[in-house]
Amino acid sequence: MDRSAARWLWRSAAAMVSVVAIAGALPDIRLPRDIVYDKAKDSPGPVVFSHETHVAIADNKCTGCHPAPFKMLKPVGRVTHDEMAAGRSCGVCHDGKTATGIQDDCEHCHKPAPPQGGGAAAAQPKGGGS
Amino acid sequence: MSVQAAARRPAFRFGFYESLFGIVVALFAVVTLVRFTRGLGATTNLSDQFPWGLWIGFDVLCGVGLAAGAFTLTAIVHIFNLHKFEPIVRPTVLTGFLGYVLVSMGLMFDLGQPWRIWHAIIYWNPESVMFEVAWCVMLYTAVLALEFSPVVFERLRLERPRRIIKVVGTPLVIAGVILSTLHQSSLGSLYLIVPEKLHPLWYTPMLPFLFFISAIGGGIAMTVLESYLSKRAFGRHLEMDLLEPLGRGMVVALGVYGLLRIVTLSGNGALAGLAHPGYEEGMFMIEFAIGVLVPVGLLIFDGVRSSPSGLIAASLCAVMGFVMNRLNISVTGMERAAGVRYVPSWMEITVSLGLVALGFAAFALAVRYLPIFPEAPAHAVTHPATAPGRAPARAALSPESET
Amino acid sequence: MSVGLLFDQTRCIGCGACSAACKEQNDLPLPIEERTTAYTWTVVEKENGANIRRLCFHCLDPTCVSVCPVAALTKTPEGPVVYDSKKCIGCRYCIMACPFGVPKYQWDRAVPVVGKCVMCIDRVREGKATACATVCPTGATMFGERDDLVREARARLVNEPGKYVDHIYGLAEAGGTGVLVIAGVPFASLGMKTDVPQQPLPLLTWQVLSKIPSFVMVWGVFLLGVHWITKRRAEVHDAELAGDDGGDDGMIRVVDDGGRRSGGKGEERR
Repeated sequence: MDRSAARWLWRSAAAMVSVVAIAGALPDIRLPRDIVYDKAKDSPGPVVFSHETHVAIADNKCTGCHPAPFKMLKPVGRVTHDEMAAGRSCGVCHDGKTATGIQDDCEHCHKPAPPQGGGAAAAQPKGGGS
Repeated sequence: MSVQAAARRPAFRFGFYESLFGIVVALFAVVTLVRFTRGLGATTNLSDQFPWGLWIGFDVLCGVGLAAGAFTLTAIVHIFNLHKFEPIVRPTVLTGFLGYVLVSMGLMFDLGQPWRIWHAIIYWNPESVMFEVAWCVMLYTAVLALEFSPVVFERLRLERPRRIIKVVGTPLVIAGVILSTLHQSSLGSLYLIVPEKLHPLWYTPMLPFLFFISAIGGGIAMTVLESYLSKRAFGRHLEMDLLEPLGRGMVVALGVYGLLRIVTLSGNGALAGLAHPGYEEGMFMIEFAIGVLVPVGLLIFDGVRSSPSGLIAASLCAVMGFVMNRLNISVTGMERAAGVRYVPSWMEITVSLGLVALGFAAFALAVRYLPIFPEAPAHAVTHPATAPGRAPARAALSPESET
Repeated sequence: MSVGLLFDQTRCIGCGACSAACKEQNDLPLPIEERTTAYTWTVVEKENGANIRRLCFHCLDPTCVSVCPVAALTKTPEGPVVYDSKKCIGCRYCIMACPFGVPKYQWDRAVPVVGKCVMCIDRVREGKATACATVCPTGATMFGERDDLVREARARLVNEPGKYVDHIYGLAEAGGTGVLVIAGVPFASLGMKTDVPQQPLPLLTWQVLSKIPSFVMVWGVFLLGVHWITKRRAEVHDAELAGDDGGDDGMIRVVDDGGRRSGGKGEERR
């Protein structure tokens, strides 16, 4: 075969090997389960926080959110739009610029029907219906 | 002019030493303020990697060691009953007492929370060398104060207390020697716990013994130097007939110390390192040359020992070598393992110098107002051999003698 | 009962959850620094491309506990080595002595204290795992009885020999530690000290301190004896001098050298 084909073959083989190697070498990561913030009085629906999506965005680093603004061992378990507007709690990132904010699409965070016990279905980042 | 008269010269002359003293003390006051308002980080070059520096290496290790003349001299006079050395006991005990007071003051700067220094009295840890040092130093400072108190009682003409102290004189001296032996050696024991950190040129299980012996040598050297400085400052004569035998004592102490150093170094293989001298090897060789080889080499000769300048030069070398040894142990020998070089900050140096300066001043004040030196004409002979029959009647007037 | 931690370096992804949980549990100020300090009691460092966690090793016979003059550091029966800041006088002997370089100081404070991992002693006493072990997403940090952790570590070394360096750090270092580490690369390359003596360090000073009581007695008796012997000789010498001399050369009489130089009489005419 010609040289460019051989190069292509070598590179894809290397890529496949690396993926397998990394996947095999990476320890199993056990993230906390999804957190359901129950619907408050004027809320359009409960909010489900998924660690999977956020950890991927944070490049596998927990320290971006922990221990400030979010505690790990004794979580507050409550978020209000007022806090977010003041740049606290989820509002540190969800300010409308870094990530979807309270002025934007409500359903981005407030899913109308809460999924059972969390899990992969709730982890769809954007626009995914229930 | 008698000694007392000499000391009563006008107190304020703006000579060189006085100005220097003023500057040092002024800076010392500033540094004290910084130290206690802004903490150790702002004042020192210490760090987590190098937690002990000049204030431990010099103020504590050297301060305590060089004050060892007190227990050595009181032992010579009161335990070995060599009463001819009586005349130099008072100034040496004063030096010792001031030395320990200065060490305590130095600790006030070094400890993170010095107002808690009394905690060792109520919180005990007999496993800790530092606990033992703290207690021995506390008790020994009290012993020194008691050993010095007759001078004060004499001045205040309190005869009864003076006699009481005299009664407990010998037990007090024995207690002082025991306490001194314990804490002088324990300063070395402090470093037993870091065999993997202290460089093999200085680490040895014999550290406690080496510290004790070197303290004796250093203490005697300081006694000689103190006599010389007193001569210069107060018009004292130099009691060569007492200092010459002390010179012999120095030869023995330093000689034993030097021999022991060589033996321990050959034992742990560190001597082989001298073949390829690096930084530590160089520092060691300087320390050993100045602190052991030169003084011993000089003082072996009768001619040197009986000449004031020879004796003083040798003693100066011994003291410098002593200081260098203790700084090598606390700084040089610990740097490699720490991974950092430590140089004291100007503020640390100011505190150490300031304490020394205050010590000199306190000594001068004591000589001025207390009967430290027996009355003797300032123009008395400096060498007994040159004026036969005129040996000053020191011992008869020595306050401790039976009358 | 003696609890400990097992840190499996091969499982660490450097997420920093342990540092974050530690800050929260111990109420420590942010930020999480790059190395351990008096305010950051555990961090994950990257050393030669590998993740390694830094924390107190909670030795079985701790050096820091033995050197503290006021017993501010103590080894609890549960296992963790804890610190009582109310007793501490700030002598920093613990910092100087610890073979692992663990304790750190608040150099920036006018009223400083030492800071180091205390293995969440409050949580341990409630029967819970340490904060770091609780949040670690990969199980790199495991909490449990030290014996169980040793067994687990041994099992991993046996079952996956290619994956690990064949050594459990903390099994024998400093006489054994409550925190054990197994790694996939040499420990020296992780910046861990490999020159730590294999027996407890407190023995080195205890060997000397334990002899003090007998030493004091022997030395005291010796000194008393020397005093007694030489006093007698001095008295005898004085008596001889007093008896011999005409008495009018009073100055010479009292110059006394204890009769050492030569046998005795009248040689002091200088």
